[in-house]
Amino acid sequence: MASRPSGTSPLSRRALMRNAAAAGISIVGLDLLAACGGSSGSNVTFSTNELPAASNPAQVKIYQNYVQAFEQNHKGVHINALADAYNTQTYFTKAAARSQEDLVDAPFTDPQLMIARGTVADISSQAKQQSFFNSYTQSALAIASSGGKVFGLPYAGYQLGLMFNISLIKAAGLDPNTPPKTWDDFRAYAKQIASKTGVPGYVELTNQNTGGWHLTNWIYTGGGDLESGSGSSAKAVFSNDVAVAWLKNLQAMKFQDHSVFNDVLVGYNDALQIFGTGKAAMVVEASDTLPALQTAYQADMKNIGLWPMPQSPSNPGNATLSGGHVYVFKAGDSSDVLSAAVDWASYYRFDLTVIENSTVQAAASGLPVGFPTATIFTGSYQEQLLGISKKYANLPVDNYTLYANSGLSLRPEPPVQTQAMYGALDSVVQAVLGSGSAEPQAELNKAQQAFQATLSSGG
Amino acid sequence: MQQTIRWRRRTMRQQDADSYERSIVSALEWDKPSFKVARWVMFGLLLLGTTLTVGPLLWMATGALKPAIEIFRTPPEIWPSTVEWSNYVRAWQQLNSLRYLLNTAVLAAVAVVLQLAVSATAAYSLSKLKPIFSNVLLFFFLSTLMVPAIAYLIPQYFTVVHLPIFGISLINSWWAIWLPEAANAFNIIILKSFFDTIPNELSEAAKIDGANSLQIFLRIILPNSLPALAVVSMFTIFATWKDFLWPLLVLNDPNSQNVSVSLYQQAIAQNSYQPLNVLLAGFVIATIPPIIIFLIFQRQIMRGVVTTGLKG
Amino acid sequence: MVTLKHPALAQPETRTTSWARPLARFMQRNGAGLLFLTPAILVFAFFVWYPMVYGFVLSFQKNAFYGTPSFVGFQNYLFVLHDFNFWTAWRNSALYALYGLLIGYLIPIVLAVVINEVRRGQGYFRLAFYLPVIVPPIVTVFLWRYLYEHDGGLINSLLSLVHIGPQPWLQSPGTALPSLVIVTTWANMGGTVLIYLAALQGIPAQLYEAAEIDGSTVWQRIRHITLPQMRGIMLILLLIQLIATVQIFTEPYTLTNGGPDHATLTVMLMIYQYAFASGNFGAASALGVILFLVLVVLSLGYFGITRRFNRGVE
Repeated sequence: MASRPSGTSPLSRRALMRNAAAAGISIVGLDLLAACGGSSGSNVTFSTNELPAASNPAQVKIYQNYVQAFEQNHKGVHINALADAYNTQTYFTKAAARSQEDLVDAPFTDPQLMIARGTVADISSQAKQQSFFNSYTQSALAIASSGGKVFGLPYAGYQLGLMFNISLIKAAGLDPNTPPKTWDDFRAYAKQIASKTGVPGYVELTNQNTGGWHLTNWIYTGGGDLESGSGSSAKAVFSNDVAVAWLKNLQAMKFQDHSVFNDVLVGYNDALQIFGTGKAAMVVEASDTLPALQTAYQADMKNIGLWPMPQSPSNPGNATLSGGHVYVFKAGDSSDVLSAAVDWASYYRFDLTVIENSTVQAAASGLPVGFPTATIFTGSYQEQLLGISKKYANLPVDNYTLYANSGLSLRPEPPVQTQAMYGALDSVVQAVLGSGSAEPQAELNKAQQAFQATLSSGG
Repeated sequence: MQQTIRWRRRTMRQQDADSYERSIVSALEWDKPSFKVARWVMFGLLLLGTTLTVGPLLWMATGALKPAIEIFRTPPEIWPSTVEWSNYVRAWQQLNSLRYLLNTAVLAAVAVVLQLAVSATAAYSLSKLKPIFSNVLLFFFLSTLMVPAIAYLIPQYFTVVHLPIFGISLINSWWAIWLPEAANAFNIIILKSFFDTIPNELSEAAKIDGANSLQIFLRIILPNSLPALAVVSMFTIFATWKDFLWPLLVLNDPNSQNVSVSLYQQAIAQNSYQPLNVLLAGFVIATIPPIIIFLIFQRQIMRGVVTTGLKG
Repeated sequence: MVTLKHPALAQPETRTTSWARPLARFMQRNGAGLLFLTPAILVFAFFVWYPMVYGFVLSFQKNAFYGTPSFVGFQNYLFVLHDFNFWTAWRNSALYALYGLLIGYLIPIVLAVVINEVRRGQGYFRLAFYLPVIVPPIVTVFLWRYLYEHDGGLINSLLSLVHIGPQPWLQSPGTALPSLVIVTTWANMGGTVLIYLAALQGIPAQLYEAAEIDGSTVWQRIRHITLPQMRGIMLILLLIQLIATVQIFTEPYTLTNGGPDHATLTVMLMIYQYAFASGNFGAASALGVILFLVLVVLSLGYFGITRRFNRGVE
């Protein structure tokens, strides 16, 4: 939610101040706020991986200002910030040599594997001392917790929803304010779009583990499960009726209605490109792709809306999958280092005034602000977060109200060998979309059998 | 020794005149009318082939000028509706291009020197000197090509983090790039194959004149293999240029990184969100120095040194 | 002539130790050779052989990096062998190698010979065919996705101009693998063309002169002079290209990632997935060792055949 400015225009300090003053916030008082954490007293150094890339000097400067403010009020703490954006391969390689950074900003999908492999530290005691900690929802906590212990601090969650191209929807004679509530509605919408406008109504992601990711999401909307149990006794259970029902639906959409985008291999960036250039009318995405659509593909933000996920007609799960960012900490660090790092995370990511400042800066530099985030928090903290977002929003927030107020519950991803499972499910989705005669049940059985071997071996 | 060199130069000059023009088809034959059709066909097919390779570069270059939403339009349009030269300017600024290009240039230059010091010497030994165990060693070198690099990526990283015996860490130092890269069995094997084609009589004659191995290496073998050396050097330069996973791992200091890593951070890393056209502009800029380097080096392949008629 | 054999004038050898002379002989014969090999041996030992051996040891362990490692004997190998997709991956890698040789081996040779012949524009052609090697891999991915797109992609659009229907290219299991091979050939042939061009420079002109005087045709000259002269480099590149093709990773990973439906799942991809999707480094190493053994057997067989071939010819 607190998106960092990406320096699309050189941001002069004076311009920043001017905008900040207009917004009624004084950035000069940053260092006073940093004092809230209290100083740790001893000499502690820790490294982080979230320094913005050197190609964005404005962003780097802003980050370093926050670092300086923090260090001034925590005497003895020194932060060594590195521009080492998260990459699964490099993270696990470094972790093998115990040389990963102390504080790592990682996506939601990886913490469970990190916990299983023991590369992250138990921060339960430090986390519980933070004021915002109690505002976490249960499902948010589950993302980076295991066995009652907390290993990470999620921030900026995004739930998956149905993103749609407003003009294409209207051209097909549909109403942007009436979302498809069930799979059947959804199928009908796609069919109508395809027949009235000639543009495929829907594009499904199928590659680079996104196929499995999305299939999991659809299964959740049908109340289905993918894994049961944990650890080496976990069982793959995704070959179930809900999955078969959805896949049959998808297959019918493709081969009977001809409303699904033709390509069988569609990856994350492919889908953004396809949707962003108007080659498909609907796609399942999380709201955090809005910045990418605006900046990278220069899509017209007024033309993009978000609906909540359609649910299964027979067995609505009233749920959806979420994505987002989480802070994790290096296993083996001393409690001093962990405390300092958690304090920093608490300051930079969760302190309301810092969040507000970041939002102001983001809005000032033209970045999209105001897209709805998943509710990983509840209570007054969540209220305040929403307030900030609304105040500085520069996106057409009305396009997302239905999505934001959907009330769907957030289910975390299946924890054991998530990426490997997604990879196995990719093939299922590809097979179903590749041929009208592919049997969803058979494909699911095949994948489940293969994946079970991975689960049983303990990975 | 001197005699050998003088003799080589003399025969070279003798042959230069017609060897330059002469390969399978002589100059005379080439101009014959019966050849005209064949000439045009060959030329035409080659040109057609190059559209496949030059076309993409042009697409990149013009794509960088288009508004992002037009780049992937199908059917494709060659010229953008509105030309945005500013994308190139932005790409240059945001890439912090000069520093990264300089970094990459230094990395590549030293890599080439090291490559020659390691691979050429080994190839010379395996080809001409053939000490004991050389066949075994050749096989050990070859075997390194048969192991997938991913399988020993992590142990290799360990080695760099904590060098065995010496116990030092190479992280953040350019030696972490140079040293593993110098271990390139492909170059050794290619160079060995080229050295094999240099007739032994040349080095025999030099030995009679009293030259030692080093002198033979420097004065006879190397000068006679300039095309092969040029090719190997080029491969090394471009490998250094494109390499990004390993520098991403071992170079944490952004000031010491190379162009590919910085482009990667821009394109793929989270929250970077560069507009697609600016990104393409960055790629085009990153491609220009290799092209220039290529044009400089490729002359070496053209005017090769011809071996004497002793062969065959 | 009487030779004085006074003990004081005895040969020096009797004064030195018994191993000095053979050692001196050894050094004279092999010293220079070994000295020249030292840089390579050092670099390889530290940065390749040691990690390789380490990796080999890892294939017998579980949890080698994270947590407490434990020796599990051949468990990783059994796991890999029983993987559902094991044989699919080998079949795909073999097919890939086959297509790669058919498409990617002959084309560079032909290109090099032709480029070497044309009188004008050699420099341009050399650069043009090398460009794909210089282009960053990310652009290659963008580009070929765009070219291969089913509806409106460049290739299908061109085909429709000559009334050929749109091809599925990467999207169908039957055509995905050859389509990938086209991409990797395109991306890598420039280097091989250069190597052959360099080799062509070394062919003495007199041979062609003599052949022409003898009245041979262009084809005969190619068959009897060009190809035999290049035989050494052609043979070794055949082996190296075979080995390299089996280990191609970047393009398959970024374009298809094993899809559609395992049609392009290669052994390399499986190794990567074991290592970084499952975090199971033991299995990744085990499969790597298996791949290594297969390639070793292949090369040994290859050397056996070529040596017999060489001996037969010479």
